[in-house]
Amino acid sequence: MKKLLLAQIIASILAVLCSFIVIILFITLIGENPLKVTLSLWNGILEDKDGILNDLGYILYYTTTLILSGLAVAFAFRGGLFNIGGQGQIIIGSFLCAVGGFTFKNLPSFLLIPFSIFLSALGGAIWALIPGILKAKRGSHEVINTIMLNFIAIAITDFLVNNIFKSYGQTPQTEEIAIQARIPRFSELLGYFGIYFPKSVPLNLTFLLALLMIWATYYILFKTKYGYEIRAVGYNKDASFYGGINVSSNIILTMMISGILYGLVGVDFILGYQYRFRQDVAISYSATGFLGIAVSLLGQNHPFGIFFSALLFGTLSHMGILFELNTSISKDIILILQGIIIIFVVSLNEIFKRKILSKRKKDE
Amino acid sequence: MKFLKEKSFQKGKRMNELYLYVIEILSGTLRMSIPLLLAALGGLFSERSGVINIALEGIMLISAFTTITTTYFLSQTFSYNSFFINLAPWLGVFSGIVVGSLTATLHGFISITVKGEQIVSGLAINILASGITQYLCLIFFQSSSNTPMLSQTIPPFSCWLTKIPLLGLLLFSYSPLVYISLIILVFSHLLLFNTPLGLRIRAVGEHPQAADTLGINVSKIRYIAVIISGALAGLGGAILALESAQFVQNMTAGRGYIALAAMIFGKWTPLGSFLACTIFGFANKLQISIRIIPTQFAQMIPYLTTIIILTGFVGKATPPKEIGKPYEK
Repeated sequence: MKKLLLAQIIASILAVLCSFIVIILFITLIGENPLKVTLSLWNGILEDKDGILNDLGYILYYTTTLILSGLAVAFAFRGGLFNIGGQGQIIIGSFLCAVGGFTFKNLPSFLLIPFSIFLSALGGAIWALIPGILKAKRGSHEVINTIMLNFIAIAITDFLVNNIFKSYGQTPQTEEIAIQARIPRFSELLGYFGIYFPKSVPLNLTFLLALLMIWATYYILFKTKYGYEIRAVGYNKDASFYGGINVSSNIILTMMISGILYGLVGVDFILGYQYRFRQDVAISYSATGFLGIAVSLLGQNHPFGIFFSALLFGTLSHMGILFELNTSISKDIILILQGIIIIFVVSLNEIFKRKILSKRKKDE
Repeated sequence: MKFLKEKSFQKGKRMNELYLYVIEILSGTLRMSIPLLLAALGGLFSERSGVINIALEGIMLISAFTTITTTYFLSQTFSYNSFFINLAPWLGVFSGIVVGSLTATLHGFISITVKGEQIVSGLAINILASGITQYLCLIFFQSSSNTPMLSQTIPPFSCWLTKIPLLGLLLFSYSPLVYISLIILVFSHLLLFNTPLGLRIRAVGEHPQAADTLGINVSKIRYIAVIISGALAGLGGAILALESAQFVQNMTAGRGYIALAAMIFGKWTPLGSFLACTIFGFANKLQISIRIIPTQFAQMIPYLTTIIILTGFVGKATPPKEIGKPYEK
């Protein structure tokens, strides 16, 4: 068993290295000099006003949502399901969170914040439950259903924000949430202790929530009966059924928890950064949902692996912005890198797994 | 007397308008269902051989981009020669098909040779396609969201056949690509059910072990099926792009996935998929033409339709038996 784990870690690291090599080749192909690109990136980092803290802050900020997305996908994977509906679940979760934030203005902070978090999770859960129930009861392909719901979520919130919940003016946004619903940023928190942290970095306490979720997912998946059943269904649906596990309700449970994790991404954006729901911005930040797939795969679908994987992708996202600002390469290259990483991870995983399994057979 | 004539004239005019409206809806439905049909046929070949192909969306997208780009640059280079300008879109379509096949080969390589997880491979290709098309669009056309409009695409037929009353417009006013696609539909059915190759494809998807013992090279057949699926999806993407005469970021808007739903609804047969695609094509047409409901709800129509159909007014939808499982000797 240990050998398999080691093989997985090596596969992930190797995948990243191979992807970097491919990207360097790509950069050379389009006529840029990779060394020059790296240098300008490095200069970009150094020239920053607040220097390293700024970059670290942004990296951890991106990592927060990537952790949650990765956990959501991993949880579903472990249950044998493909939750591609991250975008829709994040949007609905964010929307519900914002609505709660500005509707219940009278509640004090220690009630309003948990309530908004709950609403956020609820939104994601509902949006994931729909394909979950359809899969459990009707066997319909959850890949297609989740993707369809992504588009539907965009359309529904478009309608709701523009027609019912609209704030003033032309921008498709809701009103601001109550002041007491805001989650403090790291700059405020560390400021209490006299430590300086740049104010402009949107890194907030949701990061701690994400870390908590890593531990929670690990515990649920590997230390509880429910997690065991979920993983059993993931390995072999028919065997689990014959073993007495209720496959149908497990599928629903898996999708629901996956949706909750995605919904929590909304907390980061609404309570910690934007303080309101803006439809056009929501479409772009909900793309983190798709990044979750890459994060989860690179992290070998394990909560701890996802932490490191999310950290890497967070760094890449930040570098994407740096790319955009300091070189002539656009940030779309990060999308390409994602796809390449997934391809390498999938391939190398399989190759390593088969090598180890065949070696085991030889030993027997 | 004159008053009666007036009334019947008005009625005739309204009937004519209604007739034209119905024709527009019906023909629009067919036009919108063609890219879906080709993608669904592509998915069909791949899945019948046992390889899940989620990458249809990405293949359509890459192919759409390639078609527009090739046509654009070819017509720029040969702008002095009118023969070439007419030829350019056809070459663009051809390049789209080629690129689609190549992309599918990558998916096939990961699924068949490396034996990796097929759904994930498909998703990776879709993500890659999105990134590469946006990126190359930015490089070639200085805008990551769309290319300039093509001045010349493949025009629809407009010969004397269209002047036939009642059915002329409905049956004969489409672009040649539509007719080619319908011919491909018939060919697909014949290929899959009436030729040895089709039998082998189906055998490899249902019981590869048996096929192998009979001497059929399972990998080769699966590769052939996957490449065919890439070519078909590529053609679908090309047609989609030429319809709008430009490439817009993420213009496939989920059509690849809708095509898969159509294939499932059609019980993995070409004619069934065609029926399903007509329904989805109708949904797409409604999406852009309907006026009664707010635009956002109109946008949801194709996606809601897909979910509802998948929910199972389908009867038992059994995929090929060994689908998604890599074959090992």
